[in-house]
Amino acid sequence: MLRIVHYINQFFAGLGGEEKADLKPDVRSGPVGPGRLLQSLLQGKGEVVATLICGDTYFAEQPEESCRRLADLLFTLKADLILAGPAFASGRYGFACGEVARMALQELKIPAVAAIHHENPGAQAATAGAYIVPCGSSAASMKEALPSLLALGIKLAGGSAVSPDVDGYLPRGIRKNVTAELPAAVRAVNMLLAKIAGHPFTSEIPLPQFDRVPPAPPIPHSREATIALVTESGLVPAGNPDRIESSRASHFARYSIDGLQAFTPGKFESVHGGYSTDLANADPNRLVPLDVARRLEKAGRIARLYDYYFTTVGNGTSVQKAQAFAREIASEMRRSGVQAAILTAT
Amino acid sequence: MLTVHEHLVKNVHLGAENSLRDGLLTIAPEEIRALATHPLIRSVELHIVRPGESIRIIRVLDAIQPRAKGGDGAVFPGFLGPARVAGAGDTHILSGCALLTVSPLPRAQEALIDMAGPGANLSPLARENLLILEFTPVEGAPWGEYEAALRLAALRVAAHLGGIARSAPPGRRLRVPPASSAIGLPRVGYIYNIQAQGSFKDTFVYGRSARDILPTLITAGELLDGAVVSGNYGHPSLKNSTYAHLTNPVVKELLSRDGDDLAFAGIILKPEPVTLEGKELVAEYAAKLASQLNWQGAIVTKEGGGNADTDLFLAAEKCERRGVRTVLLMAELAGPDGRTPPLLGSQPEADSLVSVGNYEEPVSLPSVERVIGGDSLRLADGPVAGPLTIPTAPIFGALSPVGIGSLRARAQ
Amino acid sequence: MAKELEREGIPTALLCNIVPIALTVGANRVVPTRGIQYPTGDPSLPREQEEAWRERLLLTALEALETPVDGPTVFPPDSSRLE
Repeated sequence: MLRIVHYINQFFAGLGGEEKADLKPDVRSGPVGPGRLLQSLLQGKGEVVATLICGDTYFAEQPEESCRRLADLLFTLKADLILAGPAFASGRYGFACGEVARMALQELKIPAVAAIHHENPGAQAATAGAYIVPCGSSAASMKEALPSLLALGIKLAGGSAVSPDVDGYLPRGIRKNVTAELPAAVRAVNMLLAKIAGHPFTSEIPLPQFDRVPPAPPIPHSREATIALVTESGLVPAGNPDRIESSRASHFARYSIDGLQAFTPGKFESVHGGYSTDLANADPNRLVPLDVARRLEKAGRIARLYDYYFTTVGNGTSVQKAQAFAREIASEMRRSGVQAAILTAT
Repeated sequence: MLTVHEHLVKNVHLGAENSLRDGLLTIAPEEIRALATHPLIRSVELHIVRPGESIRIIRVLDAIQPRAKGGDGAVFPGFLGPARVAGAGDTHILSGCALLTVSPLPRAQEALIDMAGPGANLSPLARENLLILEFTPVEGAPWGEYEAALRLAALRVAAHLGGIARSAPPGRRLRVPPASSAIGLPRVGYIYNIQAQGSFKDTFVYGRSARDILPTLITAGELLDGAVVSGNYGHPSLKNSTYAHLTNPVVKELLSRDGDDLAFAGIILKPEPVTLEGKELVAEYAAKLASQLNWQGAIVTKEGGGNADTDLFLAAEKCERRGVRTVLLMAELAGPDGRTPPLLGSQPEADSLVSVGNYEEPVSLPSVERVIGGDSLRLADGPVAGPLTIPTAPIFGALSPVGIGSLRARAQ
Repeated sequence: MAKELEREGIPTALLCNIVPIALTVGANRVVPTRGIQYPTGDPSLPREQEEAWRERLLLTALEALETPVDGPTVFPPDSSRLE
């Protein structure tokens, strides 16, 4: 018998409208408001054992505190499943439902689903990892929204495998390996024949939208700038003292170039596993241009080269790691008065 | 016309005399050792390993499906025998088994196969009966020459094993014509990207490195006769082993559907240059060939990591602009939790993608009873026979770019 | 990483060969190199000329650092290969 806890706001709990939107998280026994319809849909497969209620304004202004209180309330309820909403197009309610669904799943490890209209900003919780089923924009669609909310919830609580294609929830931006039902070659030929014939087909990998970063302001003149050399080529002192991995590097390193006029072959090497490194090892300045950078420094074209260069291996490195490295490196650069970077990549 | 005789091997063991009877392959070890002799090879140890055994194999370099010609000529032309155009006559292949080369090789990326457990589902080689040649180098052997010696030894052994099948009762027979005779069906071809960068990341065509070639036509028959051989020790799950070249599922699928719902219009072998200028040239050139041959569509596969995605997308761009529709097979770099945007670099024309899995998804392997190939792993701490959590990446063939694996990634 | 350093406020000139990837991912100051295996090299040239090429790349990188840009921008070091 599935123990379900339903999350709704003050309005759907029948406690009032905007004037009660500051209600703190509270719990009632059994189903309340739309929860009764949910209960009737269950047909003995489960029970709405309790309803959590929170004012939309209270949640919007204090999301962490709200979640903390709701988590405390949930602790004693021994829920197998949490269902939130439907929130339709209500912004604050949608935000709360999405957050509750995410928090329950990721922090409390309880299966959870929210029903939110896909254009409701609260639906963004999907990309943070919550299961969100889209629903209509007004309460007029309550009768359609509840069954879809329940259906996915029951599947998750039962441990079934789910996917956006089959179960209709909003993409969470998560990719998971599965055993393919048909070999890749067969799927590829099928897809190609459909494409040639002008029939619809679905690409298996979504094309990404990369975020644009506003460019950093330029340096006024390199003659006055301290510049650091950075590389993804895997150039390290011979022997790879900090054991940077040849692919999927877990860290970066910095090495002193203080007093060094150039990289000497044999004293430095590349540990990058993604390309043939013979040419680079024959002259490591082909990876990080220390020799020429020093000449430009001497000639006053660069005020100063930073005393260290930064290195890692950009071979199969995940974007998350790259971001983490860059944050640390930038932080050190700012502390040390480095104003710009030259980054070589392979 | 090539006639392939496929002999199914259900079990392998060492014995006094070579034979293949009722699916049992008996191998006389002394002849194998003799074929694997070379001044730079200090020793070779033979292991027979079967699907389901609690065995982990590490330091895997290459895999080869055994085969031999029925009459004149040699398989793996340019390595065994002179480089003569292959793809005709009779070729005997042993399915259900493969030869594996295992050795330390510093420039090789760590590669692993578990024969049982969750790891076994991920490596296509784990479902084969394996004869493993575990090599050790002579002290001070230059690695490039040692690697070439291993390759030659393995190819010799593979042909020798194939030769055992010659006198066995015939298995399945498959006729592989040099060209399609289908009319009135969509003309579909295959653009086959191979990674050839030179030392330790190379692919050989008729014994020569494919590094600087222009895209060229090659037939299924030539591939089946071993005209393309791997010398690539980069990403183990993303490279094409010789086994992958020999059993290429894209080629098989196109052959099997030729005359049914498509006309198999040919194969363009295309290298993956290391400069953008080179990549643009070969992509344009391959698209030119495809369009010259009136292809309506092309399946495109790659070899290697993110760098090779550019070759894939350029091929799509150049082909689509000439009216050749494309579908691309590729692995995803979606991060250990599957949340990183799945592609690095793309063109609008690359809108038809088939996934072969997320490279970085972690997999937990249980401990095993026996390990072949070494006593330590660079890619994980802890005992090599113990439980390991590793990304999918080092599992040999797991994300095979030509689809010998069984993974794909899905939205979750 | 170039994009991430820029996000942190450090103008960064990225020297790389596969320019389309760099632009798609959003690196803002991109200087095209001649080869993946040698970002600041060109082994086809005799030593002196290779160093001259390296200097040209570096000067272009400095120019990129000194230039305000609106988005991903390529700074070609040289359109001629006859140096």
